Amino acid sequence: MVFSSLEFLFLYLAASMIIYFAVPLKWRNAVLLAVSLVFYGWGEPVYVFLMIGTILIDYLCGYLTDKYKKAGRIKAARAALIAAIVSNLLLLGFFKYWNFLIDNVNALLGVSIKTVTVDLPIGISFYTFQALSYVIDVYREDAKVQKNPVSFGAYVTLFPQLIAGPIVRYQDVDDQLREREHSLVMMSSGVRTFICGFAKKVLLANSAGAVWETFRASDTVMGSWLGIIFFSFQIYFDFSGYSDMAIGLGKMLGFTFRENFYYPYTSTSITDFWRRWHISLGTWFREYVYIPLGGNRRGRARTYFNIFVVWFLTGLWHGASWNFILWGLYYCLILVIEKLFLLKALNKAPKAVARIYSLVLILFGWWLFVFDDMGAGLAFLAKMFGAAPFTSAAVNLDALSNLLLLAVLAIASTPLPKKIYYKLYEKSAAARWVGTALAVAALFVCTAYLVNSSYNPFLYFRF
Amino acid sequence: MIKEKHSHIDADVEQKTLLDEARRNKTRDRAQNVAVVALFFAFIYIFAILFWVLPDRDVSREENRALASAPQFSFESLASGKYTSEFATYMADQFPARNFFVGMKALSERILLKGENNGVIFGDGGYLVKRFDVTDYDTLKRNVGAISAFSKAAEDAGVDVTVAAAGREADVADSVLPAVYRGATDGYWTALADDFASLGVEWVDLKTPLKELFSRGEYVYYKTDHHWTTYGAYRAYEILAKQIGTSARSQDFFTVERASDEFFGTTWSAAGAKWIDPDVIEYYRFDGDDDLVTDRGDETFDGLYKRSFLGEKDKYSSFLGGNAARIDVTSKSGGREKLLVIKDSFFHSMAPFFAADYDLVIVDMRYTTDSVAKIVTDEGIDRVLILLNAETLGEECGLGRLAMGVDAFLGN
Repeated sequence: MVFSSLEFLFLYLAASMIIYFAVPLKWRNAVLLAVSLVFYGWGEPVYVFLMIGTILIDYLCGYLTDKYKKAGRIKAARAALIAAIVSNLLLLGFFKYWNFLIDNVNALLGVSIKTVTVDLPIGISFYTFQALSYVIDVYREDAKVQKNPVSFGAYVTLFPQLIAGPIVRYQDVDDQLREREHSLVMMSSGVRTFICGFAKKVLLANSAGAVWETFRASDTVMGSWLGIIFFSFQIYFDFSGYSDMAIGLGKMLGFTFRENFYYPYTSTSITDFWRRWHISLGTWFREYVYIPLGGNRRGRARTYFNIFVVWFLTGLWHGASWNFILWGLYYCLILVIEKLFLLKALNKAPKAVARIYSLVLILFGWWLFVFDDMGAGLAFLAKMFGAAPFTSAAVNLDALSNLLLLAVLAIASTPLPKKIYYKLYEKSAAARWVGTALAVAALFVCTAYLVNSSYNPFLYFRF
Repeated sequence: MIKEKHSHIDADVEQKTLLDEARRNKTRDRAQNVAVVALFFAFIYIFAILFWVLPDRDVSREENRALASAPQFSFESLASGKYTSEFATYMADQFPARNFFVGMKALSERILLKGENNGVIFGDGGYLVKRFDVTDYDTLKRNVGAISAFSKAAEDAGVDVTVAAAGREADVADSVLPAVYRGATDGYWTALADDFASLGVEWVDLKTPLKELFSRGEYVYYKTDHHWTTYGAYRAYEILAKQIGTSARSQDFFTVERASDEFFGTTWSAAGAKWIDPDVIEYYRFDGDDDLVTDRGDETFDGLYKRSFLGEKDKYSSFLGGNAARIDVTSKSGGREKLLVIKDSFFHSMAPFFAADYDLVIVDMRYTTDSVAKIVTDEGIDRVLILLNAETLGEECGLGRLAMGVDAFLGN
């Protein structure tokens, strides 16, 4: 199930909230686990068993890690940790990467091993990473062991961030699983954050996506450039909108999750960009891969090797396809160059120059990201650089009629709207009422877009 | 060492600051906080309850389609994911106040200055114009080729062929369209003219004269539908009759009947523009038109109109009863010349004018695989009218089959 759907809001959330708040505090984690499993099973019911299996394995590994560690049996603790890492990575590897591996082996060795037909369990990349963070945190004694399997299950399946992040590290919610704040402030702040994310996804991301689809096939220079620009906005508002919805839902349930995006398109370098984009993933790789590998403490060569590993994996994490790996390595290269000398120069350069530099590189990053068919990607790149007419009547039309949308998208990517909102919010009660009314209006309008998406007049246009 | 900024921490700091701020102001903001939470949940629960309580609707008149009904639950369909996906469709189709929300979406697109919604442009004066971009000029070329092959073979066999292209509303409505949309289809018409010229086919341009009339404010196209009005069809008929070589009946010959003033057409449905007024459908009646017989293959009725459609959404289908592979209009007394028409639905409202003088054999290439050449030879027809609107001309619509069986002419 996705948040931006009628059945989520008017069926699932409506029912879950009643049950959650109707039961006494000590039952709430159990309710969370139960409703989250329903959420997870909505689209692919059989994978609920996979999920339960994951929970049990990681619960057990965490339990043993802690037990052995406390008994001073470091080797045994380490074995339990490794068991958790291996089992999670095997699951992820099988469902997400097996066919990709087979395809490449086949191509490389000229053999024809059969691929398997399995659907990717939704959210597996997110929840395996979360579950891993738990066992590692316990091993490192960054978090206490969770003896209650229900609470642990609630953490792994927590529906707000189950299928699209943010990746919540166990140590960040450890305390909240035991006790959390249910208050009007949290609830109202959660509702506002959720609506904001909902609007980002439904109004901005979907509109930008529709424009990208139109321009994608435009076969013109201008159309291709505009297309990739609109795609950049689509992916940002889609993903950050989803994160906002997750954070908002979390607050409604009493959890404080860490932010996942921080105005990435205002970055003044690529180094800066990766501190603002999908923060929870960057943090995860830093904490659980880069630093354990030695980070930057083992000499220059090792540092660059570590950076390479992290970015290869970051790319691969996004999908089982070479373009994602290239996308990761593309950023690896830029980050290394920035580390060597460019960052110094960028910090001295005028902000506008640094921003344009970042945006251009990010734009080409998205070009790598969006085409998993390399041939199509190269053809598109050729069009961007002149292997097509500059523009066409239809492209002009679409460009002009989406100009306002483009402006809205650009402004919404900056901190400006939030700043203005809070400035006004402080000013007067009237402004606060306007803010409240806006939130409710946004909820209405987003619902209208969802309802309209099923509005398919049987159009006898053709007849 | 470069001092690095830690935006990931900034983000959390910002979130925490805002939450602390909210906590500090919780007494001041209490009313707004209560309101936003109460309204959010009221919204969710009211619509959730209405969804369960309100009876399901079978059809959507606006969309002219059946709406999904509640899926049958079974463990197999749940396990396969079929149940949940059908449930999503069901919920969207039966959502309370669905039309209100569709209208609201249209309005917000309008406010966003989008100029269009669901592919329909908002014109001045309540005109809803379907956007028309054809980029596939190859299909156009093939279709023109097929028309050319057919008409040449027919002309050689002594059959008179008239070819005409009608404009879509987007082609003629420049005077009410926002500036960016004006002339957007000119390139297409140039290609069309070039294709005909390169094959030496004479054709009648019905777009230019109707565009002229449209710009003078005449009601030649519907505001809420993509077709021309009956009056528009009449003006096109005048031009065509001249071309075919018969004199057009004057307007006085017909009595105008106001068949419906509640016509909400296709572009109205698509745009979801609830604030637009309906169109008027007129019938141009003449003495004896009720004595003609319309034979649609599976049904036959007297006269040229199937009035039961006037009680439905799809009122335009009352002309000849809508699309069919072949429609014959014949006079009971007989003895009239036959005119064969290859057409799309634009001809339907024009049919009554030609029916005043001819028996009609009306063929829609999209629904038939019969050889037209064979019909022409078998039924001894010596006059053919090919009337298609510009969009049909540019898409796969069975026109290729026109060239099929043209050998039949050789035996004529």
